[in-house]
Amino acid sequence: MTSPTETPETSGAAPSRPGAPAPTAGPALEVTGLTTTFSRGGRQVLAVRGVDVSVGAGESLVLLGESGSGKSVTIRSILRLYGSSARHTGSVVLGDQDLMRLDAAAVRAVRGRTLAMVPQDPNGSLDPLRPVGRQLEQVLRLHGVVADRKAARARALELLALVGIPSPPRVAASHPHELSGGMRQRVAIAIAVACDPAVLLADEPTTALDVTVQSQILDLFGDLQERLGTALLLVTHDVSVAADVADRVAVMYAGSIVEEGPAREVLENPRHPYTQALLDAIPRPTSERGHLKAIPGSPPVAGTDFHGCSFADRCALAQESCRTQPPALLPVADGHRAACPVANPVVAA
Amino acid sequence: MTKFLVRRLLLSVPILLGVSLVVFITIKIIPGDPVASMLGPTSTPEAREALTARLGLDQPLPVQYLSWLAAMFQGDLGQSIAQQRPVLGLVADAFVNTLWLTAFSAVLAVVLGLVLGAVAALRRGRVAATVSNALALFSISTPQYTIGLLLIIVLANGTGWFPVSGMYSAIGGGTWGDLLWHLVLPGITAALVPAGIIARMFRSTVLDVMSMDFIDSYRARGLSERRILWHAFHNTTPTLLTVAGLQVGYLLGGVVFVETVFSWPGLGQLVFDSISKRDLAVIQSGVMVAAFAFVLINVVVDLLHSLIDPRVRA
Repeated sequence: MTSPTETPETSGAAPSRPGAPAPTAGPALEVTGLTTTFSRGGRQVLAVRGVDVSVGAGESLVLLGESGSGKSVTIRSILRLYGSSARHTGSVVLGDQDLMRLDAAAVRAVRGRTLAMVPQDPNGSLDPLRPVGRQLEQVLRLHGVVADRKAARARALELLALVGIPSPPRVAASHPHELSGGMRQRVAIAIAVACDPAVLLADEPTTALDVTVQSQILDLFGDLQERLGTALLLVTHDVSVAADVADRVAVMYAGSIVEEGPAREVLENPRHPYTQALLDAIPRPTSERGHLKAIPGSPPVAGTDFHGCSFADRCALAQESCRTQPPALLPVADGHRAACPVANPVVAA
Repeated sequence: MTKFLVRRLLLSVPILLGVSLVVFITIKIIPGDPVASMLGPTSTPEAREALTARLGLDQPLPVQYLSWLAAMFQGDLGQSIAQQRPVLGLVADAFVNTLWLTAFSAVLAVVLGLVLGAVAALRRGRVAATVSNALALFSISTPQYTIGLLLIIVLANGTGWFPVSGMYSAIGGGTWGDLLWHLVLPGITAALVPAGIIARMFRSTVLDVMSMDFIDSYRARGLSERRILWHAFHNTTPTLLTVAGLQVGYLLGGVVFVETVFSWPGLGQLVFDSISKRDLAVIQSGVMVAAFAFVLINVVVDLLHSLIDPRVRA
């Protein structure tokens, strides 16, 4: 937990850091071919179309995409939070368990214990009628990581201090409405890391916060990862957030991943037309006044059936084959994959 | 907390004063001369004048109002013209009887309302929920006197399972069991409307709470559905308390129909009888007591609310 001699070099995607638990063989979380289908009024709506992601211990992967791209659905599906209202295929392997093959009780034992989530809106994610300390103690006792009530209380205060809360006893006794948004999100993070999970899922954890608090919270994630060696899968629509925390970035569009690779690579040298358009759409101080580049058209409505590339209708490079052939996610550079054969013709086998 | 309570109590003073004023004015507006109805049509004008003066009815209205208030503060509710007894005793006895009926129906209404509402919310889209919704709607919309009479016809006169009217049996009565036996039919009759209202409110509150983010967060923390339901229920209690408290308040002042149908010797029946007899002192005091109880219940509800929900403790 405490890492006494911290070396400042934390560049790149070095998964083993000082203080982190011994790196396990293979990724902490490996999602393969995940699909999520909802039944809406007799229609089958495919919201996630076969997502492959994996995160190693201490690594942070950012799922980047616009609203409705299926990124939140993806991480909620990983936790199987939709219960019987969604059908899934694929596998979610955590350690040596495939979550998709576990029964409800076994999934509950994983949630909050080895796989924890930081919710989007700290204003609504805490029970308004219970002091936050009690909610923290509840998780600790639920998963049996503390011996008794007293130990839970002590550990809760430690955790609040760990997430940078200045006076833990006072905050522990407070109800959510007595805390600021940033404080609440720190509490939510404390709850998420309470049982020292292997993987932390974060669903737009900074969207509801103002910019200064946002960067503090993102710093906190980095800090906690360093200390606890947790793998982080963070969902955001905000490219600057991705640039800030990601070791690797996966870009999502219409329910599938269109590009994936090291953060620098993807954000500075995007290989998929959608990623290029998305990055072009960011307003910059240097861009011409009054002109914002937008992507023409609009993303397909969830559940639309298409045979080829989901971006073909909005893509400047689209060819006839794009509308019939679903593009595969193929390597374009070292550790960098993109699902666009037009922009990245295969050079040699 | 104490500050909250004190403020809440102080706030009820103007409410009660307002109620007293409305009651007083209503009594003055309704047609009928109490003096004439007391002395009968053959009385002499002199006798009527003398009684008018004795009752203070020849004073200006503001003076009458203030002296009524002053007397009330000293616990003097006046004399019943019809029964020739102090009003205080009459009203107190009747109020206790009404309290029994109210308490019994309140328990029934809350239990029935919670069950119907919970089923409607948690079994949404299934037959059980449709049945619950239908029952709740039925119990809200059926008039009390219809239900009361139906129950009497079927379960009292028809089968003889329950007594037709009254509070105790004439022979061998007076036990707790006897009281409970007499409470069943009027209790059910009075409980139906509030039960329906509580059911519908509870259904929508449960659905509201279950769709809140923190329920999902609990799920993501690994809690079982049963414990999540418990936390959801906890979060419905502020609303539940407010609505149920209001319904109990209405019951307390509104069981007039039920008391009349079942000849329950309560406040409602006393006031109802007194209206036809122009027994003004009893009407005034009866309504004031009911209003006072209503306000008191609301204060208690607010207090409990603030104990459950820290957000209202401001």
